[in-house]
Parts: sequence; structure tokens; C-alpha cells
Amino acid sequence: MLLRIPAKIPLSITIIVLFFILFFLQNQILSYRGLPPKLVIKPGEFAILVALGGLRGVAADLLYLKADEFWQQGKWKEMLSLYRAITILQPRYVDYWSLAGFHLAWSLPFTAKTAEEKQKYIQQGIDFFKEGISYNPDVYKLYFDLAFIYDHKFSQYDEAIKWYKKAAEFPDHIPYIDRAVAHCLRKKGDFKGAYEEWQRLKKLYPEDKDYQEIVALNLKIVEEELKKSGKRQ
Amino acid sequence: MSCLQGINLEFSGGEIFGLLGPNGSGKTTFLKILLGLLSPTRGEVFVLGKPPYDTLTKSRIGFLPEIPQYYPFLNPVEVLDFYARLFNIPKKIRRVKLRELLDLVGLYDYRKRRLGAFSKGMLQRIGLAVSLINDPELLLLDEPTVGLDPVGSLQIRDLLLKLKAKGKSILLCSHLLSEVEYACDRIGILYKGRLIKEGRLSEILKKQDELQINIKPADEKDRERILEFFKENTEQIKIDHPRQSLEEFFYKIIRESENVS
Amino acid sequence: MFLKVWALANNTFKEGIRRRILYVFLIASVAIILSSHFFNFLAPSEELKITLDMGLASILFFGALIAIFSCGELIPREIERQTIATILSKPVKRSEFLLGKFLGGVLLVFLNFLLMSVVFLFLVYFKEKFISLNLIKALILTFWELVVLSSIAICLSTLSSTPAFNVTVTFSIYVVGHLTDYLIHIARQTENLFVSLFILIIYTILPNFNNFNLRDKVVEGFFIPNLEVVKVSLYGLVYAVIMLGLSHFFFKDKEF
Repeated sequence: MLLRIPAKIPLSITIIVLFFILFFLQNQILSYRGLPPKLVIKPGEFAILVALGGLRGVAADLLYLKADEFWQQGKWKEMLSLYRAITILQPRYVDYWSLAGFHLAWSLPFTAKTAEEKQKYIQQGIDFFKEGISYNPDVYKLYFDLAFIYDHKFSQYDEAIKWYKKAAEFPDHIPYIDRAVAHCLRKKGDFKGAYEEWQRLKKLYPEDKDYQEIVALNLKIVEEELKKSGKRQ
Repeated sequence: MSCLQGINLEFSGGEIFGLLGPNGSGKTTFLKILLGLLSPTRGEVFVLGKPPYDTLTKSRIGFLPEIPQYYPFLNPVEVLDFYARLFNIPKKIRRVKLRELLDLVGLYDYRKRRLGAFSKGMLQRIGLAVSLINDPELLLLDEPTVGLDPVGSLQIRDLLLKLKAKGKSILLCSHLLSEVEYACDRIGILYKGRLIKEGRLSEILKKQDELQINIKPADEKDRERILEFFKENTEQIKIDHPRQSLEEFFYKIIRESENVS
Repeated sequence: MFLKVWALANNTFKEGIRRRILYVFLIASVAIILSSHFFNFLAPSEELKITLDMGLASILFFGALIAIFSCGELIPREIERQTIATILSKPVKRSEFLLGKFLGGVLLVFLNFLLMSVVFLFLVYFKEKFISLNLIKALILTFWELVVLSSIAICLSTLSSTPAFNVTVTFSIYVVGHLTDYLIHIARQTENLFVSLFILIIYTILPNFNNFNLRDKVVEGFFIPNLEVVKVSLYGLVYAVIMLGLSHFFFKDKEF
């Protein structure tokens, strides 16, 4: 026995050193993937997370199917609470936020009985999109969804333009977003700004015939508006 | 808890040593310490001059545990091949060796059958084969004939005698006294961890204060005269036909039948 | 040395593939992978996501069960059957024995993993006519996660010979290991330095299985850099080595 104990010491030291290496590696890994979002959730929900371990994706899928079922049946409130759970399980899957926010801001208001209730739902939609953005700041979609609400539901064009522009920062955003900015400027009454914007857009895709047609059409509309307002002045 | 104390055994080649003792006296513990499976809490152990956990020592020893259950899904060839690889024996030599060993233990004909279908006796023989893979100088056997029928025991004993003739030293642990009596040259008695008696069987078992004379009298008259003489000149006399043991008788009969068939 | 280790690994593998419970897990896993195909008609827009999610999760979950059940039993079985005495009485170092058993167990896990992955990839190819490299990377990391789990199972089995205990504890570590990231949130919240340090130590010692989780990333469509795959594989390797080292620590002087 006496001969063997010293052999355990180098082994222990090696293990401890390896743990330090592990710690270093872990930091490296975390710097890439980041921590999962800090979830402010109730104990009951956390219990579900615990039970699911690495299977959150599957759980989200199954809940999604159920939510879809509720949607078909018109049980929109239940559907929304499921979406809440789904976004907790997989906060980094953008489509879930998008869909849920869309339902809140567009579908649910139809069921509202008072104007207040309607407002409440739309506001919830906005909050939901903002929350989704906090978990997914690097994807264009949710910025776009948010801008869309300000644009078409509230007619708050300044807000809309702000969020459209944010969405446009990402290289893979859909081309419509650029045009949406121009549309908003026009709707706002800033015809000069709109005109400049359309001019800028014209230079973007000179080869694309359909695109150029749309740009040309809109330029014409804005020019006329400019003339009209110029006449008034 | 038995505590082994101060055991010192010396072997010369070609000898079978029987370690006897009641259950719990420490026989299996003793073997396990020799093999490095257990560590002594105090003191030192040397086997063939080296500590037990030295791999060099292990390559010179063979071990048969009490109830070997090898891998039931393997056949003898595969089992022996597996253990042979643990000795780093190269493939060509392995093949030859396996054949030899299986012949030695008489299991060549069963070499493709799964161990799960083997009887205890056959398993014991495989165990012996495994313990001989490395052609060890010293064989340690733990209760090699326990659970075997007399024929099985006989087979094992014959094998051991063959090995002894080859010059191997064998340490046999057993609580079956008749087995030990038959197979061993020397014995030691282990009791509560101490070797309380050791010596050659042929000497130990002799009742030193008595004489045994076996005679075949030529005729009746001679017999009477001899018996008269002894009755007058001895303190105590018992006259009877010498008796062979049941085992001797049994094996004689079995051997005769084998020779006939 | 390698011949011995390989002989042990081979033997372990041969023994392992005969265990019926592993087939149950394998079949269950394949069944679930294939069944994801039928979920699709319920939500066509999410078709690919559901297939990928269920496939990868199934491979991980059942792979984990296979790793835990097979590796956790390797050493206890040898002890139970007394064959360990026959092996250790031969000139085999205890470290060689451990390594051989571990490799045999990993081979077993790998075979099952391969089977499940092939079925899964076939399904994906069938649907998409394309297999992204991301998917392969995610699978590689899943395998490393299984290797780590196997090493934990073996380490525990050197401590306790009760299979039920081993399985339960290893499975608990599996679950907890997916949540260790949240410990960092807690560590950052507390102001007490000692508590933070303590939590950090626990965090390092426990395996962080979330590192191996690229499944979400695959589904979200992000490209996974090779460097990250290497880093995480290295993490897995180092952790497995630590576990084997610990196993050696416990097994070295174990008495039979």
C-alpha cells in the first residue's frame, strides 16, 4: 500500500490541471455560442425545462402542433399561452416569435369587443416582438414585423421607418423593406424625402426590369404629390 | 476477519502443495493477495521474488479461480484466444498453443461449442487451460474440484499430475480432504490465518507410534504362526484385511471400464 | 499494450451487442425518427424543423440511454461474474483494463449511433435531397456528448457496483448537464464572492452538455464554424480523459 499512494498524487494533479484546461475551453466555447437567455420564468415552467434537458426543440414542436390545432378551432387565447411556452423553450427560433406576435397584433384584435381591448392586444403584439428582438437581435425578421405594425396599424411612420431601417441593416433582408421606407416617407407627407429615397432605390438594381417598373411607378406618384404640394405652397 | 500472518512457502519444481483449511481460514484471501487482487493492510508480499502487482510476476503465474464463469457466449477457442492476447502472444503461436491446450484438457472436440452449454467439469477444464496459456512456473488453484462429480475430479487430478510431471509447481487450495490426499505431495494447514502445520504428506500422515505391516501369507499355517508371534510381542494389535478407500475402488472400476471401451 | 487493450475492447463489444435492452432503445429511436415523417402533414410549414428536431433529439436521448446502460454495466458485470479475477491475474495493468472496457463501450455506442444517424440522414435526404454539413457537425458533437456520458457512466461504475444506482445517477447528471448554463446566471447575480466561486467550481466540474447542442443552431439555419466544432470536440475529449483518470483513481486499488 505504501508504495502505491505516491502514484495517486501525480494522477490527482493531472486531473486538476485538466479541469483548468476544461474551464478555459468552456470559456472559449461560451464566447461563441453565448449563454442561453436569462429566463424570467416561474418555477413551474422551469420544472418543465428541467425535465426536457436537451429535448427542448421537440417539446416546442409538439406544443406548436397543439397551438395550430387551437388556431383551427378558434381557441386563440389558449393558442397564445402555448406560444408563450414555445418561445420560452426555443427563444432563438425566430418564426415562433413572428407568428405569435402576428396573431396578437392582427388576429386577436378582431375578437376584441371594445376599442380598449383591441389596443391592448396590439400593444401586447408590439411588446412580444420587442421581447423576441431582445433574444434575436441579429435577424432582420422581427424588426420588420414590428415596423409593419407601426406602419399599417398605427400609422406611426417615424417609428416604422426607424424599425424598417434597423431591419435593412442585415444583408439578407427582403428587398421590400427598402421600398417600405420610401412608402412611409410618402405617407408621412415627406414627399421630398420620399422622392430622394426612390431615386436612391432606382440605382440599386438596374438590371431587374420588374423592380425598375415599380420604382418608376412610385417615382411618378411621388413627383405628382410633390408638384401638388409645391402648387399649394 | 481472518488476518494472514507470516506465511512463507517454498517450492521446488514438479510438486503439488495442498493448502487446507476450514472455510474462512483465509485460503482464497491468500491466493488473491498473491495475485495482487487484494492488498495487504500491513506488511509485504513477494511472489517469485517480486511484488504481486508486477506484471512480470503475473506472466509466470497461472490462476484458476473458484468457480470460473467465463464468457458464456464464447467458445473455447475464442476464450483461450482472448486470454492469450492478454499475454501479447503473437497470432501464429496462439493458434498452436490453443490446439495444445485443448488437447491437454481433452476439450478439443468441443472447441466450437459455446461455454454457456458446458458442464461444470468442462468449465473447470477450460479454466485450467486458461491458467496454462502462459506456460506458468507456478499454478494457483482455488478449489479446483469443488462441485465436480467423482469422474470430473479424477480428470482434473490426472491433469494436475501430468503438469507436475512437466515440472510445474502447483499450489492447490481446498477443503476437500480426500482430493488433497490423493493429489498432493506436501500440504499446509491454514487456520485463522496462520499456517499451523506444514510438511510432506507421506510423513505427516504416518502414525509414528504404530507400524503397519502388509503381508501375503503363503499358507494357513504360516498365517497362524505369524499372528501368534505378533499377539505375544505387541501391546496393541489389530488384524484385518487392508482396506482400500472407496475412492481407490471407484477409480479402479472406472479406469477398468475405460480401458475396456 | 495495444493488443491487450484491443482484445479487451473487442471482448467487451462482443458481450455488449448481445444485450437485448440496447436493441429496444435502438428500435424505439428509429421508430421515432421515422415517425417524424408523419407529424409533417400536421404542420407543413414546419416540416423540416420537426424532422430535424425529432431526429437529432431521438439520437441524443436514446444514444444517451444506450451509453448509460451499456457502459455503466461493463465493470460491475465482470466483477459479478468473477471474470475480473481471471483478467487481472494476467499481466494486464488496471489502466489497460479500464481503457479496454471503455473503448469497447464506446464502440458499442458508436455502432448504435451510426445506425440511428444513417436512418436519420436517409430520411432527411429523402425529404430535402440535400444534407447540410451543419447537420453532420451537429451529429459529430452529439456523438462526443455520448462519449462523455459513457465516460461518466464508467467512472461511476468504478465507485459503485449497483447497476441501478449507476444508471440513475448518470441519467441525473445527463439532465443536470443540460442546465448548467443557468448556473452562470445565478453566479452573476449573487454579490457574494465565495458563492460565485463555489458555483463556478461546480459549473466546471459538471459536464456542460449544452456545449454539444448544435441542434438548435442547425434548425435556426446558422452556419457552424469548424473551429467551434473542434473546440467542443476538444472539450468532450478532455472531459472524457478526466473521467477516465478519475476512474483509474478509484479503480487502482480496488479489491476483489
